[in-house]
Amino acid sequence: MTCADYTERLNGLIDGELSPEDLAAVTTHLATCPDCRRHLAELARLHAALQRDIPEEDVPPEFRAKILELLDQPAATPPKPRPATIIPFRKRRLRESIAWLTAASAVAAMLAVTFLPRHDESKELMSVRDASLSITLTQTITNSDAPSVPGFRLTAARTSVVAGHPAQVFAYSGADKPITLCVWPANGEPAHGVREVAFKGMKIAYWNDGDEEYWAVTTAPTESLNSFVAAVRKS
Amino acid sequence: MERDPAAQFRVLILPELAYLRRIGMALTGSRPAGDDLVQEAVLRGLRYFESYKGESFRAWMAAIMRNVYRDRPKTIPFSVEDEFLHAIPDSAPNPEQQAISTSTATRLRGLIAALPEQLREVLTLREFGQLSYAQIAATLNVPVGTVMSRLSRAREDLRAAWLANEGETAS
Repeated sequence: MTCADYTERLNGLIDGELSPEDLAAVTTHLATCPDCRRHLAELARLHAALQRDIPEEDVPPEFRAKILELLDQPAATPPKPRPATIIPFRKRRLRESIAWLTAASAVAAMLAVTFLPRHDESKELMSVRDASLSITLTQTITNSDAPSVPGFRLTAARTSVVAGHPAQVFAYSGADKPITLCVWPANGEPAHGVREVAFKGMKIAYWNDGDEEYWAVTTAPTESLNSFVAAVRKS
Repeated sequence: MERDPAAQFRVLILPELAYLRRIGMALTGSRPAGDDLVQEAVLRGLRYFESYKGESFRAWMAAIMRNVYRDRPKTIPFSVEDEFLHAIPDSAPNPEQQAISTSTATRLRGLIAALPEQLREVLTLREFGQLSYAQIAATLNVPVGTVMSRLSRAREDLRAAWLANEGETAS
């Protein structure tokens, strides 16, 4: 065996992960090989530097508070394996937003579509995609205060935490493929028109009406998604 | 009496925030991005807490950190706002020459950030996650032998870059 063959075992020695046989072999080799002894010393020094110079950092109070806030959100609870009931959509907030949408219906005709997501929206994209994949597991419901979208039928609804937001998640049929709509409070985020992005096999359209954020997710053709978005915004 | 899972999760997670921040920073190469990763992992951990069977909670959360990191949109990179990455010139041809900075910690972080993702995650899980080879293998869904070879390559790359960097800063 050459010295290169011992490299992985030198790492195993540093980590205390060698079998008795490998430990005996590498120890025997080290006794006769100054190059491998030097190599081992450098690995040990690097390992020590990583542990010494990059220690666990203190947790700033504001970061801890942010985590506590996430954990304290009413919807931030582990899902039950088989939910017996579905928490109904919040009627008051939704009706307020629908009223706002009605007033803004003239603006809806001027959809400002962009194809580049904002830099900090990766979390939302991932989460709404996850939500769209899991909503189909939710039982079908027939009575809900979810947005009535002309041309599309509501098939499921639930509350969930999506990207850290207490959200309402709805599934609609009517396009070639199901369309999922996630809605959560805007919480001061500035309003914006419709933006679209292709993400991990999904098409996602999202907008903020100043009161709520809306994220529509689907694998259906873009035309179907656009029809759905226009219907939601005009409903 | 059965405890509320959310309360149980909170008791377990709060003492591990420093541990998770260290992993997050090593994986992303950025403090803000690392903290975002921790928050997302905490939410995912809470969501899937029912699957936690009482094994090492640290290892369980470290695996979630890695999975959240790997699931991030590849087209939208984490922000790189930390000083050690700002110190890396874009045109630098190799990691050794990139990590020119002041402190050992800063240099090391820059060198780790320059490792290929497959090597960086296995090094991070071992050095900062303190996971065993078997735990890393389970987390990455690869054989232990693959963990050993990746870890060896990661340390070799890091060692070579570190020694080169030491030579530059000494000269």
